[in-house]
Amino acid sequence: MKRLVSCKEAAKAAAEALEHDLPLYRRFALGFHLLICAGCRRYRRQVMGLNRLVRRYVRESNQPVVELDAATRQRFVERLRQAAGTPAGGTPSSGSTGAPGGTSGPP
Amino acid sequence: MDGKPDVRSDPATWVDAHGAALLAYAMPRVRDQQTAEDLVQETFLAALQAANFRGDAQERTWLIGILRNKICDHFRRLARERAQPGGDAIDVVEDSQFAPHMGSDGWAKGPAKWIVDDEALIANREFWEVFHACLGGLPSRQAAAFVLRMMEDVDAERVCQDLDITATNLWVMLHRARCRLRACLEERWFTI
Repeated sequence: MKRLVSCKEAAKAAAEALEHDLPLYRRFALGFHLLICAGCRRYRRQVMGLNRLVRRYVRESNQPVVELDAATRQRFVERLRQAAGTPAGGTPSSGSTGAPGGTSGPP
Repeated sequence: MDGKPDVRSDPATWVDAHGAALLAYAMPRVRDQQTAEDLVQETFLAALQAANFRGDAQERTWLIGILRNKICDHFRRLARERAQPGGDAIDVVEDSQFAPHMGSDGWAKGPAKWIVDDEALIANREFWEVFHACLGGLPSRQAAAFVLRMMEDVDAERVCQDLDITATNLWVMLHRARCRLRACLEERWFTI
C-alpha cells in the first residue's frame, strides 16, 4: 500500500509526539502509517517503553544503595574540612591522615 | 545566628549522613563515577558556604536540590563545549536505520522483537550498565538534551535556552537520542 509518509518520517513523528501535540495533518499521517506498518508500530512501542523505564529508573534509584567506600568518604571529608577552614590552632579533629578520626566517627 | 556548629566543625557527620544518597542520586544521571563524585563534592562545598543551612529533616531534600543544579550545570557545560557549528544537520545513526524502499525511506532492518519486563529491567543492574554505556555513546549535545529533559525533567523551554537551540531542534535532538539509544540497546541487550 502506498504510504503517506516514509518510515523515517513516521519514526520521527512518533518520537516527537512524546514531546508535544502534533499538528493535525501529521497526527493523521502518523496514525495512518502506523495502521499499515508493523515496523513503526514496534518502534513506537519500544521508544515509549524506554521512556517509561527511564522515568521509573530515575525516580526509584534515588535511594542509597551502597555505602561510600572508605577512600571516597575520606576524600569528601578532607576537602570539606579544608573548605570549612577548621581553625588552625586547637583543632577539634587532630589531623591524622589515615583514620576517619575527628570528633564522632561512624559507629 | 550560629547555623550548625557540629557540621562545620566536623563535615564527616554530613558525609556519613548524606554522601551515599547523593552519590546514588548522581550516578544514574551522569555517566561515570568520577563525575558523580565531583558533583557530590561540589554540592557539599556549596552547601557548606550557604548561609541558610537548616540541619533538619529537610536537609536531604535541600542537598538534592543543590546537586540537581550541579548536574544540570554539568550537562549545560558539556553541551556548550561540544557545540559544533552547523554540525547537527544529519545524524549518521538515524540515517543508517533507514534505506530507500519503494521510493521512500523504509527500515533498513526493522526493529527486532523485544521482550520487555519493566519490573525485571528496573532491578537489573547489568541492563542499566548497558544503558549508561549507550547513553555515553551519544553525541554530547544529544546526551545533554536527553538527560536534562528526560531524566532531570527540566522544562523544554529551559533546555532550549541552555543548549541555545529552537524547540524544533530540541525535538530532533531528542528523537535522534532515542533512536540511537534504542538501536544501541537492541544490539547490546535485547537481541543477545
